[in-house]
Amino acid sequence: MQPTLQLTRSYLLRSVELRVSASEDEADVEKVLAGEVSAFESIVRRWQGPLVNLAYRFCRDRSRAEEMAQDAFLRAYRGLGQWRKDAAFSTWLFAVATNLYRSQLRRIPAQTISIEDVARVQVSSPADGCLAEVDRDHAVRKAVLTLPAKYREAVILFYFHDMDIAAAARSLALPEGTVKARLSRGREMLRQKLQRQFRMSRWREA
Amino acid sequence: MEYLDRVLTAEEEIVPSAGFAQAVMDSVRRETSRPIPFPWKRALPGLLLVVLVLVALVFVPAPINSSGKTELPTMQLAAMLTALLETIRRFHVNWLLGSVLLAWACVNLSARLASLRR
Repeated sequence: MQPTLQLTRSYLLRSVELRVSASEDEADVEKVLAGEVSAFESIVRRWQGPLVNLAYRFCRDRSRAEEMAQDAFLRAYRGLGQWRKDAAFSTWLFAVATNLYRSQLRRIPAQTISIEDVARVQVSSPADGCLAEVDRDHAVRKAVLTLPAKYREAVILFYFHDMDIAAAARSLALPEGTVKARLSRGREMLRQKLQRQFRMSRWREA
Repeated sequence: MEYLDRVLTAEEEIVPSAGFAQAVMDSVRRETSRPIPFPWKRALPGLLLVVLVLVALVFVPAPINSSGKTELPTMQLAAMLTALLETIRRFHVNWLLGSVLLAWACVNLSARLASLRR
């Protein structure tokens, strides 16, 4: 019960933040388009955290995440005039970034460890043969990267947007139904893989 | 909430390094100081049209000949092509065009090699 409450609270806080920043974003974009390049810095400072974190979820490499986020900001700067204001600036920015991250990772895939390697870590861990909870959670997050691209992207975006399918669909520029189907399939694949490797029986909790 | 949901929602947040925003702004400023490349793709149809109009203006003979009869369009075109070929031969335009193309190919190749090395 507690995690759901926490999630709702963080979702509400985030939506309030987004509404406040929306007007600031619009004002800054107007300034940049009028030739005031320095106004873009406010946009960068406001969105650097989310964009770097999104990139990190795609590649699990801190320095590469920063490089990817930098490229995303540059691409956003170049295409600032294409933001049509029918959606929030953040929605447009996430879509630009997601598109770039996907294509960059298609060219140079993220360095992943296979599920089998994750299991090997488990075998080599001490005492009772089980990974410590933190290590196990970390391994689960890394295992997301072993999914096929289309499922992986849906899973990453869904959790990045606090389990909001509509937001994930907007970032991926896909219909909600498609994202829902990919997410369901991706989660099932992940569950099966991990269950097989960790021999965990307690995947579901009330 | 499922175990997977709980783990993937409670994701560790990373903080961008201190110089990240500055690095982005540096690349943005580099971008703005770089001259805007000429939009050849967009301009090419217009340029071709201008060249054609100019050629037509220079070489197309008057539609009515000396005897007062209107010439057939195919004859006009043949005359136009003949005149164009004659001009090319007289002013060695073929050599000029060849050398311009060669120079362009050299510049393009060097630029590509340089960008690959970078």
